[in-house]
Amino acid sequence: MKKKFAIEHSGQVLQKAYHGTSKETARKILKEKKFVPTRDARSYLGDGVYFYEHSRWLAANWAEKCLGKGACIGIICACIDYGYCLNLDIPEHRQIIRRVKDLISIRDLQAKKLDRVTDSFVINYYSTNIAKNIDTVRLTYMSDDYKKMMFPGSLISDYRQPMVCVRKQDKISKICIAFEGSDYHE
Amino acid sequence: MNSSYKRMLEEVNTYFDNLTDEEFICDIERAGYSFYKDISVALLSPVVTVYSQYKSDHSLKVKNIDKIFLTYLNVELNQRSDQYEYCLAA
Repeated sequence: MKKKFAIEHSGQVLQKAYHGTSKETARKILKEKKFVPTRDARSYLGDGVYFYEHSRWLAANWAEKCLGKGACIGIICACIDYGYCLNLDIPEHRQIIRRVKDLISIRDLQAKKLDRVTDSFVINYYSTNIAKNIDTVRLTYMSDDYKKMMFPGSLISDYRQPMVCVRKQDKISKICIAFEGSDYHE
Repeated sequence: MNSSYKRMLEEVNTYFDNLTDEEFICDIERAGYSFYKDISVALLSPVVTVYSQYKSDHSLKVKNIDKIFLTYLNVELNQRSDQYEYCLAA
């Protein structure tokens, strides 16, 4: 019998998500309809393909940051079915990840082999071993400069970056190139 | 406490209650944590042998050394499964 997992289906679809990369890679992705997932400790939402929700500008910024100003970038636009989504904007979901981290640390006390437990590792642990049905992980990232507001007197942080990390690529559809070139302007 | 969160929490607690030490180690490796930090490189060989800190009786033989960034070895090993093989250390 198929195991039923506790996390609920989101029932939501994001029509426009953006992935920034080089022009060549963007064309390759379009041709092959396949992404190379990011897998390293810096990817704080765990292994998967990273998109910015709604914002082409954030994706362009990211690509320029990685490739250098003036580099030829490509921005992929795609539709994402959130499916079973670990939504870290929801406090309860963050609480689950915190609990997983605590239990990993307790279990590791004897062996003391884990010298560094990252967000990425804990999310991967939870999604790979426990809630195996997780399709996507989302979070509105607040950068280090999150205290900078939209304008003087504003209460709204100007550094909110809504992101989604897609663990299962069958949740990505309608892939197209939204921009390619070296001089991005919104 | 909302019922969805309660179920998720129970799932996590039950999972760890029933987890053996061996399973825990496998889980950690599946989650991408790299224990392959003590690296022995045979310069004349096209194959790099990587010894695990965690499982002393295991090592990895990694081919195509030029494609491997040792800092992110676990990343590369995961992504290029066709380019490495598990073997018992001699």
